[in-house]
Amino acid sequence: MNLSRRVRAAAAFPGILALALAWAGPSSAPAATPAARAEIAVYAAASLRDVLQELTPACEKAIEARLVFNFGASNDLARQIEAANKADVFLSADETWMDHVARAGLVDAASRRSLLSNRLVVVGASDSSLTIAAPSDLKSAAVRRLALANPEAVPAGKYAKAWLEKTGAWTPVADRVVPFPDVRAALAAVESGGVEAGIVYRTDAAISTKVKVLYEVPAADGPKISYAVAALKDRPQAAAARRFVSWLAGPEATAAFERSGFIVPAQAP
Amino acid sequence: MSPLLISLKVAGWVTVLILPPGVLLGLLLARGGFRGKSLIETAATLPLVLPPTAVGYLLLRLLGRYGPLGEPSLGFDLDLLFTWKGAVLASGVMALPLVVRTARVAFEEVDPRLEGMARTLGLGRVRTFVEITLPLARRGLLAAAILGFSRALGEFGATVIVAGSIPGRTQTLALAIFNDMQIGHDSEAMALVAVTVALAFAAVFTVEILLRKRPDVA
Amino acid sequence: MTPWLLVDINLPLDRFTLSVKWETSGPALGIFGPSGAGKTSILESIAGLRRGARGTVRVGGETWLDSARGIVRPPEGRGVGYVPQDALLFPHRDVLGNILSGSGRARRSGAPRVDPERALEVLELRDLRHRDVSGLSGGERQRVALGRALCSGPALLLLDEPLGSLDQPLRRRILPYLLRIQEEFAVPTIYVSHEATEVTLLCREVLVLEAGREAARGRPEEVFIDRAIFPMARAGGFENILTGRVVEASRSVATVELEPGTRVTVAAQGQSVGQDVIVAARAEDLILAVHPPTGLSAQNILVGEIREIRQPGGGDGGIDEDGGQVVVVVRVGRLGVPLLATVTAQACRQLALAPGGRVHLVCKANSLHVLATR
Repeated sequence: MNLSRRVRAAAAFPGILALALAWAGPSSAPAATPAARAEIAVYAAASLRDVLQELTPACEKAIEARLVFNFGASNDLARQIEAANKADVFLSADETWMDHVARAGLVDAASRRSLLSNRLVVVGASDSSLTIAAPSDLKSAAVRRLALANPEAVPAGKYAKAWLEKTGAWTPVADRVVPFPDVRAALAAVESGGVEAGIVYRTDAAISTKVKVLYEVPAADGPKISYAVAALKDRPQAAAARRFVSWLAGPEATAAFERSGFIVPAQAP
Repeated sequence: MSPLLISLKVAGWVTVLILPPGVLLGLLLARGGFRGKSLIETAATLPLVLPPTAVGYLLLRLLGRYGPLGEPSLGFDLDLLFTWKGAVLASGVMALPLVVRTARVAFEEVDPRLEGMARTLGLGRVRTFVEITLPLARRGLLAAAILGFSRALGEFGATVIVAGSIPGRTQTLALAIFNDMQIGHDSEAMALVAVTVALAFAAVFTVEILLRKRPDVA
Repeated sequence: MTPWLLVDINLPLDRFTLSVKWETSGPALGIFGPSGAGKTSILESIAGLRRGARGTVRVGGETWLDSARGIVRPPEGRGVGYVPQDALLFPHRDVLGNILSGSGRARRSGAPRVDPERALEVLELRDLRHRDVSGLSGGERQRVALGRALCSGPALLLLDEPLGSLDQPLRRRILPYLLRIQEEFAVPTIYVSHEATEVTLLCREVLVLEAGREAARGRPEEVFIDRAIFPMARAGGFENILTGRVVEASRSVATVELEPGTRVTVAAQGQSVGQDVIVAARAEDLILAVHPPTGLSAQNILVGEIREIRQPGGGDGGIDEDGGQVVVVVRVGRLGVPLLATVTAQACRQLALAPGGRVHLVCKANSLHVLATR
């Protein structure tokens, strides 16, 4: 009696496991395009997650290759590429980390270009009562904690710190800064109410329903934000990778970027 | 405060705070035969098996603005998120199962008949526990404390979510290693790793000695 | 007069239910029975260590258990001095620490205090007081456990096979301590034993337990020679027990007067004249003669009358052809208790032994042991 009960209880475990897997399910996979044969690994900055996933079906059709993404903070991605070059394309949120990878001799220089720009915004929870009219307002006692992507390494954080330093607001708020592994984590912190305010990209604020923009950093006040893209050297799918990089500069991609709030610089011919 | 000091402070507080409930739970599970025992056993073991990030996320939802323990719900601010106290909470939850299990084993090795004998001599339940059970279990309980301390020292997943990696405030050794790695400060990271390994080695070594059975004397 | 002890317990055990009802006022009680009869369970129930026990336990006017009224006093409130079979000493305390373990209750109980120093002396533990208990011998451990129970101010002592785990020579040495304790400290005691000799020596009343139920009750001398109980008693080692006083003593032998006119010679063990002693002879060691024997090396010849002849299985009187040992019950002089001798059925027939017949009991001096001196 005792034994069969235990056996039955143990047998329930695989059943529960199966249920959990079915519920979690595979993440939204695009319908397999009939022509997809080649596969390219795209390592892209976290802030590009939504727009790139939106563009995937059209892109895969156009370049005749499947896209496999790895999103994260640009500094993390750069080190992953250095450690084991499994990436075909690198999309960094700043030029510095692309330079880093280039110094390691891994970048196909001919394919490199500055693709996008962005704006910084100060965000708070949707029901926040904070008013930020100028960087110095961040000093107020109401802002107990300020979420940034790690200002020592992550582009979004470095940009934010550069802006605050430029406007003289860094020193008073420095010890309120809570660093996060990437810009989306900082955004999540603001959404959860764990911090009163955060500095993220305009494009991040746009996709979140739980935060509102308290202040948009004017282009003149902030540092120059530039996203770099390049195909990587010595990879089997070099051709497909270059096609991808070119496509990103094309009209369909540009329109999507601009819709999301990115700034596409006018292309030099 | 350096990462080492923050780690020691957090782990120290964790040990002090989870030892009493951990030991009591261990006692309960070792001696009690009550309804719902399996349930309590499972709940106490859960953080051992769950990914630390899952635990951290749950705590974040609990303590955040929109959670049942957030300021709007409670009426006052617990002020745990992104503070060293939050690190204590997160590491404490992760370390508790280890303390409970080790304490339980320590109590199971104390012959309950000795406790019965003490009661016949006039010692009530509490005095029996203090004068007989505790002294006989002390090696195992010390091991439980050290294991709890070490686990808290090494905690990352739950801590980084609940307390963040704020240098000088909540950036423990584990978080600092990750941070240095992220920035690319490899030699600093290795130095911190060396410190961590040394601490862990000392702790585990001590525990092994404490838990080694004493040779039976005829 | 209300009995001092009332035990009415029902306790389900593995193979049977323990069911005992016992009221008594004696100061020294015995529970006798084979292993597994439930003796230890009774003690544990009285001590409050058995949760499943139902019924009534009243000791000295205090109710320790009354299931009907929902009264269950916890062990610490019962005033019991429990000495289990395996001593159960506290390993983290030394000898003195163990003995003083119950001293808090002793102070609070208001019972006449047993001075720990006196207990140490009586039990000959003074030189061991600071020893680590893990290094003690079996006999020493037993004595420490005894001392611990005594010094805890108990209303009732429960001794579970106090000599059980010891070999014969050690038993002989500890027995005097138990007697001494009885005399010196006079705490009401219940002894559990599967040895008839111990029970006879130490107890005034015995309850015989078989498979959880009472098989007999009464004074040990009478209960053990009862035909239904004797086989059990013999299995544990039955001895005829006699008391007397030493009237002569030399290097090799001593003469003990059992009653005026009846003397026996025993192998001497340092007795001195005037000592009260208890001597014992096993039933197997007694030889029967129908004619006064002469020229024997044996030093002791007692004359008596056959009161009863018992053989295994059959009724009184008739003797079985294939019977094994036969028990002959002999009344000797004015000795309070009859002596039991066992002979073969063949011998019984050859000698034509019958109740009422005159018979001589022969016993070597070496077969009469001195069990204890007072």
